[in-house]
Amino acid sequence: MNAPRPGAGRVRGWVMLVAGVLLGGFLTVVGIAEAGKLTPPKDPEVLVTLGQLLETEHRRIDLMLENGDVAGAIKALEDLRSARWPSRELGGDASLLLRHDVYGRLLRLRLDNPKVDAKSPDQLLKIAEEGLGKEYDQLDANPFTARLVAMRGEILERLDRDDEALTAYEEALDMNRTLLDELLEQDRK
Amino acid sequence: MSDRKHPERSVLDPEWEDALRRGQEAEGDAGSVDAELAVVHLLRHARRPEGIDDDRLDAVWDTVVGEVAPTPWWKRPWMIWAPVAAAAAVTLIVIVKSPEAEPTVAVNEPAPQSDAAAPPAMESAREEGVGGEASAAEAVPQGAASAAAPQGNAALLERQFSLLEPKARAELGANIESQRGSLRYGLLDTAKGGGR
Repeated sequence: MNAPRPGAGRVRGWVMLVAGVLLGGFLTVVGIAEAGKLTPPKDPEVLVTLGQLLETEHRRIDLMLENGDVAGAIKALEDLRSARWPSRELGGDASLLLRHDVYGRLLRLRLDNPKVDAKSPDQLLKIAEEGLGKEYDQLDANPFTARLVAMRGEILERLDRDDEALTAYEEALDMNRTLLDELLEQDRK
Repeated sequence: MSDRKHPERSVLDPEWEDALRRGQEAEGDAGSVDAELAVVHLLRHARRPEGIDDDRLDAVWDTVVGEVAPTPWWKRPWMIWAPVAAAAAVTLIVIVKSPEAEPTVAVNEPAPQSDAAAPPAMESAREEGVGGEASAAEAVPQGAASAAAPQGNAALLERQFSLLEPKARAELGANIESQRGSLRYGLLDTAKGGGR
């Protein structure tokens, strides 16, 4: 029979230790490199086109609001809302952020101007949830999603669903906390 | 009378002690003569005090001083507990004023500051990226100050958004621009026949 060599166990232990250190280092480097980066779109053309469309539309809405045409601005945003939005896979994380921005702007206008093309709180809640979608909690913290989550809380508060409203507010505050810390850190530098 | 038998014996004579011890032995060590001996010693000392050398006197005095001298302030018990209590108090203060409270205060307090800081930041965002989409939207609720304006948490979160928006918008714009650049290179590559 072949007896195991006396030093074999020690060598094996060292090999496993070195392998563990290398794997841990690799995962750390990759994790740091990927932190804060948006998942890229599968089809960059979709994202670029969406970005161009929204830039133009937002400028048009700016003009409407400068002229006091809140109803027109709401209608333009509703038109955007009814358009077909790309999936996260196709348009990447950035397309979700753009959608959250549009829905956030629409809801802000609706909440601040409840008499213009009036909607019930239930309908507003439906808009908020439609805008957020099912994948919003997989995104890195960003102010557009946080704002939409906060407005969902505001609508829930109007529906006297205080516990759910509080949860939404806390969720939005959590998202903003990291971002505010980063902003303060930048200001200090 | 014993004084007549021993006319020269005085209270200082050590014979007193020897006589008392002998008497005690004669009675079978019954009883105690300690009280009588203590009186004899006292009388002897009163008549002729015994001397004490300097070293022993110093030793006795050190013992007395050690017992009666006040404890220095740094050795008092409260000096042990005070730092512990102070450390606990500081820890409590640090926990109460936790970092997450800072942004709340910072954002809550200076409403004028955030309003004042927002316009230039939004201006730069408009120039850099996807555009200053929210600038007018922000102006409407603040300017109109309608009855439906958000209160409490909602208002706080809206102010936080106005602080965070410019940077986020610039980053989003840069991301789209980067995709646009790669798309442009891809199209050029295709046009030159490199992609096929």
